[in-house]
Amino acid sequence: MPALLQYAKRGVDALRRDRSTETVRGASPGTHLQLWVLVLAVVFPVAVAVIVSTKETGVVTSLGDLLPGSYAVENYREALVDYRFGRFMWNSLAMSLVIVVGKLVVSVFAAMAVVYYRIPYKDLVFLFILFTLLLPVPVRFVPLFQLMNDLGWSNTILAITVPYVASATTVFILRQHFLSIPASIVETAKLDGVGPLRFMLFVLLPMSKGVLVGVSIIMFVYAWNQYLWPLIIIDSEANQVAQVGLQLLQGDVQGGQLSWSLVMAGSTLTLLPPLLLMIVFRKPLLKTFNIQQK
Amino acid sequence: MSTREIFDSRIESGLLLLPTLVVSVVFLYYPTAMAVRTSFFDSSFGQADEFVGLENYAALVTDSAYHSSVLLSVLFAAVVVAGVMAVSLYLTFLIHEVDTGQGVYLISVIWPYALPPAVGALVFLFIAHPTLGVLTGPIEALGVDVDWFNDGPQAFVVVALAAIWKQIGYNVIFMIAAMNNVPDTLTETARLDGVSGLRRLVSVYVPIMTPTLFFLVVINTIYAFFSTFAFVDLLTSGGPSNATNILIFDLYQEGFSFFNFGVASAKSVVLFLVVGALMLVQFRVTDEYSYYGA
Amino acid sequence: MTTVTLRNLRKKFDDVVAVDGIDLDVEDGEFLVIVGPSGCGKSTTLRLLAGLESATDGRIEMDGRDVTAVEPKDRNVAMVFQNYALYPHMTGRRNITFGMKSSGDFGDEEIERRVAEAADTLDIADLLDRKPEAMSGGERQRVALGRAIVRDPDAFLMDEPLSNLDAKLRIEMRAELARLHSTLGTTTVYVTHDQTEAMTLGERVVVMNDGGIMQVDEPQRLYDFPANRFVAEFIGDPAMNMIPVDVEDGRAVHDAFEIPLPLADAGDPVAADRNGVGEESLDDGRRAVLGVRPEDFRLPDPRTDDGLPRIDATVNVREPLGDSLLLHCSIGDASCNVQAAPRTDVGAGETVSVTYDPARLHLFDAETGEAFYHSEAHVSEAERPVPASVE
Repeated sequence: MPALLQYAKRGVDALRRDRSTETVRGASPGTHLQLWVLVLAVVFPVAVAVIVSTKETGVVTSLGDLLPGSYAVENYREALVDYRFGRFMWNSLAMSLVIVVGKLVVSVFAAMAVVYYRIPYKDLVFLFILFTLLLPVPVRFVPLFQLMNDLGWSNTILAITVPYVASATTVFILRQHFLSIPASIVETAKLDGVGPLRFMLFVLLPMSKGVLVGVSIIMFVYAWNQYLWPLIIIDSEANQVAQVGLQLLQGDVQGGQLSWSLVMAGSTLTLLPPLLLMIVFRKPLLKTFNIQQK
Repeated sequence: MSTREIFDSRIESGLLLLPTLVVSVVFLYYPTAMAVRTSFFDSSFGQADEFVGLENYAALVTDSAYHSSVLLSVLFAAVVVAGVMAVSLYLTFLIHEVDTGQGVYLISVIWPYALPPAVGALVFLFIAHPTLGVLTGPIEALGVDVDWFNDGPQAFVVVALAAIWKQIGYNVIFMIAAMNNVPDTLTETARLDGVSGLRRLVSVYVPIMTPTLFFLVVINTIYAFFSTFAFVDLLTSGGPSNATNILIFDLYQEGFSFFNFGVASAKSVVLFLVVGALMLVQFRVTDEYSYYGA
Repeated sequence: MTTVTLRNLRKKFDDVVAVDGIDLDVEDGEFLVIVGPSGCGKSTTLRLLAGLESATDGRIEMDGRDVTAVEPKDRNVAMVFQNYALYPHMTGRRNITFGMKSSGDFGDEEIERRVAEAADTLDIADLLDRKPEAMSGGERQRVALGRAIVRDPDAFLMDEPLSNLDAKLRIEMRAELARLHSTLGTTTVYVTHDQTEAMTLGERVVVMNDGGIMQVDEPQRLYDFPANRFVAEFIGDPAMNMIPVDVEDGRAVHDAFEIPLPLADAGDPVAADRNGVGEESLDDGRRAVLGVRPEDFRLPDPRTDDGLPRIDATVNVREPLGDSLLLHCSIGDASCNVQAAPRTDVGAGETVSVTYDPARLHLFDAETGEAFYHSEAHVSEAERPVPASVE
């Protein structure tokens, strides 16, 4: 009997020791549990949206209604075709791609000049570019709206892309990255007499692949998620982007012509492109954010 | 001593900088200058501008609705910044502590970075809808009467929650990088000294992460002021009775519902001063704390 | 082939003078090493030679041609950097050929032939298809050397090329570089902060400090006849002991000892020639600094009398180095390192009797630090005592 007690006590002690070493390492089951709860809270709203987009009416008044429905194909078809969401998506895509490519080219040029050229008043030029950080759309959208009217660009893709092509953030990130390329590599190119074009194409860009991907994702997410400016400057449905298209859908819901499941289908569609890009390219994206914070 | 300035053709550097400079001048500097100019005029659609001096600003000084919008924006920013940073910091800490599944946890909390605010707004509108929302039942079961279409404070809370939710991803991205930069030896020293989890977060990690946290305070404040437009527009349209009428929405309405371009421009200038002050604070603080960083 | 001449070369960065008017002649085919502490201007000098910096003042000539204002690519020099400076996204082969192809001076076949030749010389044929990330530090430096030699430049400029390698590899690569130089015979200017590297590699060594040249000489002469205190203390490890003394009556006088200073007969032509410091004056009362290397101190066998003075030294710390024993001692108010035979039975706190090699004394002017006396020039072989052992 005492032997048994002893055995039991030893067992309990052992268990206790296990627990305590676990807390020292910090990976207690409690930590995982808390994470699960918080992750669930962060994911829940969008999970609901995805589920509702597969149901017939989208009336979900209790947690018990959260079972996937069988109307997914029908809902997405209706949103894309009947409610012209395909058109909106296409417009958003075109806008985002033009902004990404335009910004990338223009910013690589500017950063190359700022880092690799001997320019008088270089700091001033760089400050002039950086200062535009202080001028977000809300500060200037009233005159910008008038300017677009004067240029005749209202309602066109030019209006929602060209003003975004100059980017202090992108120039800054690229400059930081260029400065992290060892000077000796650059000097080797100089000793070899490598010209600017060859230097850019065969040295600079290949050595910047990760950052170029990273800033492209940042720019795409930023461009795709624009809401205020397209809302102001685009007023024909044919040229509208997905973000504002959602607002149109919502108006129809309020008017009672549309079921929530279609709005959620539209929301899911609008979320997918930036989300997928972010998940696929998360590694270069996170690295690039690290650069941004300098 | 070593140099990266390996090219010195003025013409080439000029050409490389040209696109960025032209777009900056035409679409960023010029409209901003115009906003300042227009703020001294009485200006709206279809009538000639009339110089009115400081009248628009004087109107703002005496406009009690504008005053409450300013107060509301400050309160909203404070709630959003505090909320998003508290949640993100704790989440980051939990992810930092676990030794398995870090990658999965990380991606499942940083994805809202890619979330379009319009989608976030619609999803929130749906799950917290006073009559249809899936969360409405459970919340009412707690004894709260969900009525944020009519109840100002409730509407404020819903918009703030949606805004916080969307910004978690961005914050965790920066916080995890900063926390991973805390030297292991410090963590281990703290553990050997028996400093428990939460205390370690507060007294070891947070002080070392100070530069990143300040950077995020500024970024989040700018976010709360400017990038939450879609939430207000789609969730509450500034209502009920102006309970969520933050500055950016107020400005939008002034310009594009009432077409008072003069007053709207004055409000833009005020916003510009807000961004400018925030950026200045960031530069000062970054300088002061730079010795913490690498 | 190529000679390099620097005349009154100066380089100023903002208000810092990095290179302060130096004159230097690099002979054809010579392996010249520039050594000095960080910030002494050695790298800047090399970069001026390469054309990566432009001179504030002065001239650079290669083979008598003024190249001071010539673009780097037109100087036909190749540079090897400390961090190898390989393009990380290119294979070894492409790294080697990229510069040649950029210049457009070479045909494809010519390039092919030269790469094969360089690969053979450096034994890097199997590295040509690998990227730098798949190479070790030593392999990367070999490829970097390959890139330098393939263009058959007039001069190699090397900026601390071995400093990123670990100690063992560094010694291997040192031998490799020496072999390469004897094969190719190309004029080479090599910058390092490591005096061992400088001594082992250089046919001649330039010691620089504060933007100026302290001494240019063959390695052994640098060691035996340092021109000033800086060179004396920089070259040699452990460093030369420096003890303030007064010169009186042909002796070096310190509170704790007096040492006679050997002096050859006046007008001995050999002495003046070997000394290298020209006319010397052992004037009475001259304040000086006596320099003695730790290995030139000895613990004498107490049973023998070599006729040399004995100096009392108190041992503070003993450092067994394996092949010798280094004793940190106090002699009067001066501190001194004494190198003794290994396994010598001396403990900290003990006072020992120390003597020295009379042929290895140096005197430096107390103010200017210039050397004005090296005893070696005054002692004939016959007079030198046989080193006494203590075992």
